[in-house]
Parts: sequence; structure tokens; C-alpha cells
Amino acid sequence: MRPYAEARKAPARLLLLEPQQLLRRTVTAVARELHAVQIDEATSTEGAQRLLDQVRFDAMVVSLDDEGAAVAMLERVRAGEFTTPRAVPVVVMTGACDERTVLQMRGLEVRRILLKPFKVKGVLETIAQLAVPLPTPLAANA
Amino acid sequence: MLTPTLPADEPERLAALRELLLLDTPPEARFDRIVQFAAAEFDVPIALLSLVDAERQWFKAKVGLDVCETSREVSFCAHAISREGLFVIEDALADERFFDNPLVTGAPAIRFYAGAPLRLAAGTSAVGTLCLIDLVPRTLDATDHAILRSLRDLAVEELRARADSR
Repeated sequence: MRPYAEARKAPARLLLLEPQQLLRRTVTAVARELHAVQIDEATSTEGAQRLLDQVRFDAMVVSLDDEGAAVAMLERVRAGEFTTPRAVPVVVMTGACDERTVLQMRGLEVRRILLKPFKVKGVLETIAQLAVPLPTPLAANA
Repeated sequence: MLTPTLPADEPERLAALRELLLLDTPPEARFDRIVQFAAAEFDVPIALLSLVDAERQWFKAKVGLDVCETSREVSFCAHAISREGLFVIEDALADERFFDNPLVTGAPAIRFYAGAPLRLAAGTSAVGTLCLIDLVPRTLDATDHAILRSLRDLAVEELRARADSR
């Protein structure tokens, strides 16, 4: 477990799962430039889960798919099945958000839901809010 | 109206542009996606991927404009290609270089322009721009600049990929 002081010196590391190339690459490039955030990109839940196994991410931004694979992945995150701490802050991006989705995301302790279509700027502002790793009892002990 | 000056490496610039074999070709989805994304991201009515030829600027991809080319003499992009960074005109009517430009006084009535030069290699002049145009004055903040530069970089990647495939 990294001491909190040491963790604060390292740039925040964020997992971005977004299949849409233009959005993903633009968010990544600008976030790196402006927010000193290290972003690992994934285009699929399979790729994201491989990264979650390898890296203790400080935050995640995840595009929800229609098939539910991203939700299943988040359930596994919250169950502590990956190297990434189970209390990692999560933001989701989705094209549709009904009451069922809101309740589901609440149950997964998702911090924010971004509704598509959204602007890169909106995603970047959200990342900026997530970029500072905050110590929580769960994260510190994971 | 200030007419654009020719870059010092204009012959080489034109050669690089022509080697792309892009002028007067049909639209391509990979370039259309970028200008459509840019137009939506910045909420502008017009976004263009403009290639600046010897006497004209021609639009390989465009949103919000019916014409496919204009003369180089009135082109904002022809000014932008000589710049290192973004070329931004917040209010063309208030700018002594452009207030009487026909593209400002007439259709499409440009007020705001932001052009990101498309440079195929470091140290060379740009072959064109990825640009945003609005009909009202605008300003861009640091994040907007970074986003436009990033989209420009993606456009340059597509141009280079096309050059490499020849």
C-alpha cells in the first residue's frame, strides 16, 4: 500500500473505456496536456479488465454498452476482483439514462453519469475533479 | 483587407500538398468525422478541413458550407498556414485585417475564425487547416485550444496515413 504522501506526488492514473476513437483520443490527449493525468485507454471491457488487473487506477471513466458488459465489469470492480481498489471513483457515460439505470449506477457507487451527446470539455471537467486521488479507508486498505 | 502572404517555402508546400493526391477528390468518412466532431464540440455552424492550393482553398471536408472552394486571396486559412500555433480571430468585423473581407461582409458572414495549421512535417508550412467558423464573435479558452489542437493532430495523422499509403 502506497503511503498517502507518496501517492499525492505521482500523477493520477485513470482508465478510460470508450470505443469511439475521436472522443477517446481527444479526451486522452487534452487531459494529459492540461491535467497531468496519466490515462490508459481501452476500447472494450475485455481490454479494460486486463488493465484493471495490472494497475491500481485512481479513477475510471467508463462508457456503458447496450449489452451490459461494462456494468458487469463495474460489479466485479466493486467486489474487489481486480488490482484496482474496489472503491475507485467511477464516472459513466451513456446515451440513455432511465430510472433503472440511475438506481443501478447508484448501487455501483458511480460518482457521476454523463449523458451522450456530451462535449469533450464536459468529460475533461469531470476528469479534473477526479484527478486528485482522495484517501478513503477502503482505498487505503485495498 | 489584408491579403495573405506566401510562405517562404511555398513551392515545397505546394509539392507536399499535391503529393497527397487529395485535391478535388470525393468526401471521405475519416475526414468528415473530424469536422463533424469539431462542429458539435464547439457548437459552431461551420467547420472545415481546408487545403490551401496555389490560387484557392479547397475543402476536403465541410460542415455548414455549400461551396467547395474559395479564392486564396480572401481565405482566412491562407493566413493560418504560416502560423506556428492556432490562428484565432475573435471578431472579424473588429479586426483591421478582415473587416472588409468579402467572406465577412458577404456570405457566409464570418465573425469568428479559429484555424489549426495542418503541418505534415516539423519546420514546414502547413498544407491547410482544420478550422472553426462562427457567425457571432467568440473566444476560446485554454481547454478549447487544446481540444482544437488535438483534433488537428488527428487530422494530420489521417493525412500522413494517406501520404504513406501512396
